[in-house]
Order: sequence, then C-alpha cells, then structure tokens
Amino acid sequence: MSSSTESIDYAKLRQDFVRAVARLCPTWLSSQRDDLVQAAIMRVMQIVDRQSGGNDAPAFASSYLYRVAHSALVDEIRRATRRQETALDDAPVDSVAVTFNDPERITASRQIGRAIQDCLSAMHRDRRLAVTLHLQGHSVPDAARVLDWPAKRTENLLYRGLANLRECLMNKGMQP
Amino acid sequence: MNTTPDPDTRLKEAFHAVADNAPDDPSAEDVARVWSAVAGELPAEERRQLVERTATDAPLAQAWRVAHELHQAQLDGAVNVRRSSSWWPAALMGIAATLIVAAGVRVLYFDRTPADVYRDSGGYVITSELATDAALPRDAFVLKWKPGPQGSRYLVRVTTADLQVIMTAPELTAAEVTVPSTALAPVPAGGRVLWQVVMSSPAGETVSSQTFVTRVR
Repeated sequence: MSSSTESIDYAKLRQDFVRAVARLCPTWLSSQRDDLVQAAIMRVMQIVDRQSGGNDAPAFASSYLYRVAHSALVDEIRRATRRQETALDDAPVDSVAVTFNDPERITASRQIGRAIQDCLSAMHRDRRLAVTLHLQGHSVPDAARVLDWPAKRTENLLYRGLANLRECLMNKGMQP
Repeated sequence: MNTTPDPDTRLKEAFHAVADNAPDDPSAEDVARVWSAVAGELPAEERRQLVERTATDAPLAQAWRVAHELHQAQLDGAVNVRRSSSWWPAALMGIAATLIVAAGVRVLYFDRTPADVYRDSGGYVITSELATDAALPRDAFVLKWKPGPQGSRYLVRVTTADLQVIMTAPELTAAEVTVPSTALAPVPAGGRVLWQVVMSSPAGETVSSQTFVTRVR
C-alpha cells in the first residue's frame, strides 16, 4: 500500500476539456480543438509535476486540479486565438488552418459585441450584472447563486436588462 | 422534447466574439480570481465586481466562460485523484518523468501573466521551423526549431496524440532532432505527433516552447 502512488485521471480531465472547448470554440476545426486540448493537458501535467516536485504522492485535491486546469485552458485558448488572428492577418486563407467560416460575419459579430459592451456600460448596475451572466451562458438559478440574489429578482433584472440592451442596440442601428 | 432555440444566441455569440481579437490577456491573478468566483469561494460582492468587469473586459469574460464550463464539468463528476499503482499507464509515468527535467522551467502560471510566459523569458521564444501541421516522411522525421543563443542546449520530448512518450532527447546542441522511424511505429500514417522543446541557455536561462504538432506522412 505504501508503494502506491497518487494518480490523476487525466482521461476524465481530457473529456472535460474536449467538452468545454467544443462549447467555447464551436467554429474551430475539430483538429484544432484537439490540438488545443492536448497542449492544455500537457501544460496541466507540467504544472502538477512541478508542484509535486516529482514526488510520488502529490496531495492534489480535485478543486486544485481544476483550478490549474482552468488556468492552462485559458492560456491555451488565448494562444490559439492569437495564432488564428495572426493567420487571418498575415497569410493566404489556404496556407493555414483558418477556421473562421465567414470573415464578414465575424467582423459584424464583433461590432455588435462591442456595441453590447457599450450598452452594458450604460445600464443600471444590477441589470448589467444579470444580463452579463446571461450572455456568459448562466441560467437564472445559476446567476442568482453567483450574484447571491433571489432567483425571482435576478429574473426580473434580466428581463428588464435585456429589453434595455435591445433598445440600446436598435438606437445604434443594430438589429439584435 | 423541447427544442426551442435560444433567442439570444446571436447576442451571446457577438458578446463572445469580442474576445477573439482583444490584444490583452487576463492576468494570472485575475484568472485565479475568476475561478474562485465561479467556484463560490469569493464573497458575494467580490463576485459581483468581477462579473461587472466581464461586461466590458472581453478576455476576462472569456476566462469566466472557461471557468463556468470546467466548474460544471467538475460538478458533474470530478477527476479522480486516487491511489493506484496499476492505473497509471507506463507511458504517462514516462512523460511525468521527463517533465521533471523541466521542473526548473520558469514558465509559471501563478507568478506572471500567462500570455507572456514565453516572451518574458529574456525575450526569447522557441518557434518551430516547420510549417503548422506539417507532414514529414517517417524515415526522415526531423523536428527543427529556431536556435537559441550560441551554446544553448535543448531537451525535446515527443509524444503521440494520446500522450504516449515515444522519445525524449536531452542535451541536444543543435536545434533539430531526428525521430527514428522505430519510435514512430505507434503513429499511423497521417497521425499527429506532439513535441515540446526546453532550452537551457549558457546564461542559465530556461525557456519552454509551446506544444508543436507535426504529422507523419
């Protein structure tokens, strides 16, 4: 028993990465998502190994592992995104694995995204918080938990905030 | 079955798209705070303050989305951290052993901005001399990278796509290494090989590369 080692189920972590990246980067080619996942897993292994000092029995709680995984995945997504942006700027479309389907649509989407940011800035704070979490993919109960507000209040703020957001975008000449 | 589409999908896509060409990355401290917030480890008002920042800070918002996804995955069933002498595959033990060599690497997530970990290493970045996703012949599988300062030494570790270590080459003096065809036996034609370089400069600086991907023709 004493010779056994603490081990980490990297297969499960990898599954989690695959699922997360598929949801976060739906327009990327699957091969690029795979590469990103591999790179992130290797980074996690590197950090875990460094933190354990190469010992056989690292005392890693799951919460710590996911914290490390989060950091690694954020880093790799940013790195991969930069590479894609550079590819878009510098190279002919067919020379690299550019994943964007429609550059015009992407540009338009970013313009709307920046307009959303402007509209959020001008919004009443509590509505801004509720709408932001909605845009981030949180359900109402989940947003209520994060904000520590009752669900009903969160829902009302979201409803009014989304109305504000749509009106603001319309005033900017954008059809949300 | 309810298949009603989310009416705000386009809004969400647009909000997320801003992060793609944002020049700055979130700091390591902010990334850690985001995780703490999503995991419910921060006081409520601090969580609200972070959410407020994500409204206008696209990279931070992206970090939040990553945290949200991973935290959901964690809640669905956390990764096992278990005692076992048999589960750990020999290949992963191998990669862990090779990673020990890089223990001194100053590529730390927790003491600097993640995006700048390579650039901060004396301004040197290890880049591959091979085209992105290049395919090399099995009998001439030569990995090449941009050389560091004169006198630098390199460690290269090579794995299959499923992280089986197929070669570790320490103490290289040239900025290239040939992977023997015998080592490539587990990799099918068209299969991907992952490789990383750790450089030790004469000044004592250690720099780690990102993971490069090369295919076997």
